[in-house]
Amino acid sequence: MKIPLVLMASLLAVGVSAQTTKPVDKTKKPVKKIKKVAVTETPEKPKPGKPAVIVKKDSVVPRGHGCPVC
Amino acid sequence: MMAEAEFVSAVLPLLQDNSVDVLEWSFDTLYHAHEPDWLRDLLNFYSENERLIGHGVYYSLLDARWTERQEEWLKKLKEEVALRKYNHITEHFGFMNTENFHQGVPLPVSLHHKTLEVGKDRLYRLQEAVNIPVGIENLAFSFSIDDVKEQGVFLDKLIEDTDGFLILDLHNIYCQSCNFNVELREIIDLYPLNKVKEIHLSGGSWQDSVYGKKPLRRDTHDDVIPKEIFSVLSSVLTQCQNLEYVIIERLGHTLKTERQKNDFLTDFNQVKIIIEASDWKQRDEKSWNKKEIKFSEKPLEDLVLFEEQSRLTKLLFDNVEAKVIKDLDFHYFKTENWDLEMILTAQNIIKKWNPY
Repeated sequence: MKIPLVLMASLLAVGVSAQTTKPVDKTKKPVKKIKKVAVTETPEKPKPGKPAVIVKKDSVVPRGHGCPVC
Repeated sequence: MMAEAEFVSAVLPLLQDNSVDVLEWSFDTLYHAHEPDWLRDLLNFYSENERLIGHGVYYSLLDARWTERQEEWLKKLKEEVALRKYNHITEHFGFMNTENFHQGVPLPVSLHHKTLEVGKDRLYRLQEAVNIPVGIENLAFSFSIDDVKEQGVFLDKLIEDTDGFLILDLHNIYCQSCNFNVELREIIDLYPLNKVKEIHLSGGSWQDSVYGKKPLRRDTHDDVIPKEIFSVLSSVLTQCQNLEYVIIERLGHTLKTERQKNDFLTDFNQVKIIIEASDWKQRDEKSWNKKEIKFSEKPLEDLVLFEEQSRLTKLLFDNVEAKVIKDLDFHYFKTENWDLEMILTAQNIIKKWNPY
């Protein structure tokens, strides 16, 4: 049973995306020195915090990987 | 089949070689999530070629209460099998009894005429919903050696009215063999092997023992297939005269490194070699006809069993001391025979999957 070429191409793209997702490079970049500028503008209003996730009964909560049978 | 890109990356060589004869898809794991295009197309392709089988996780076959959630699950199953052709579907032995069902884990129950009645009722409804064979998989986790030795009989009785079949998960049996010091073969022989239509193979991990005994084996689907399973596979293939499918299970996110991927492919090829050397494929396929089963319109419920299932789940979730749980009085759970290590293991599994 041969997988059609178009489908195989999309699977290859998914496979390649998994391989190319690498951790962020941790090498330090040179930091440009910037003169401090006195802030004269009115400070922004603090943004409201992220609302807490409330788990409802019989709702679906994405749990990442795997299955609970394992 | 797993929906993670890492899984696709790992199995690409097998798909390119056309080595994957059949896909098993846990259709209820993405009921409420978006199905990527590539996954949809791949499942449809296997379905159109009559090479797709379904594996449910969330029906909760031995739950003593019937709720809207189960109704909804069956409704979605009907939609799924109308959308794609599955050769058969399967579910797990056990119950998932928590307030939030999607965060539950399947726990075993002992064989009792009432638990059997509940299981049969659920299976009737499941079989009624589809016109393809329905099978049940043995569970890795057991609280006691009695439950380990009884599970084959329990499953056999469960499926008798629907002409159902069994998935024999050899790693689940391997876990029981390690955790209860019983020979792998001894447990396998307690199952009605003529009812086995599908075999599951996988690897797992070891968990440290709290009570200072040897480590516990867990069915975590994150490592290679143990050599002990390979050593019995050939004879099991011979014994399972109605076997149709062999499935290798592996969690997608555990196939990240080159070594993990290579080990997985090595396992796959080794399983293929064993299958090809066996006489399995030369057997005739057994035909299946849906049995007409009469059952009450109102789902069977047992409130005592439900209360005990809920109480037990809560006790485990609340981390109540294992020795205390052993001394509690239940009608359906023989906690006095339970292994302390296994109570702790159940607590660990529940903690892993229950975020609240």
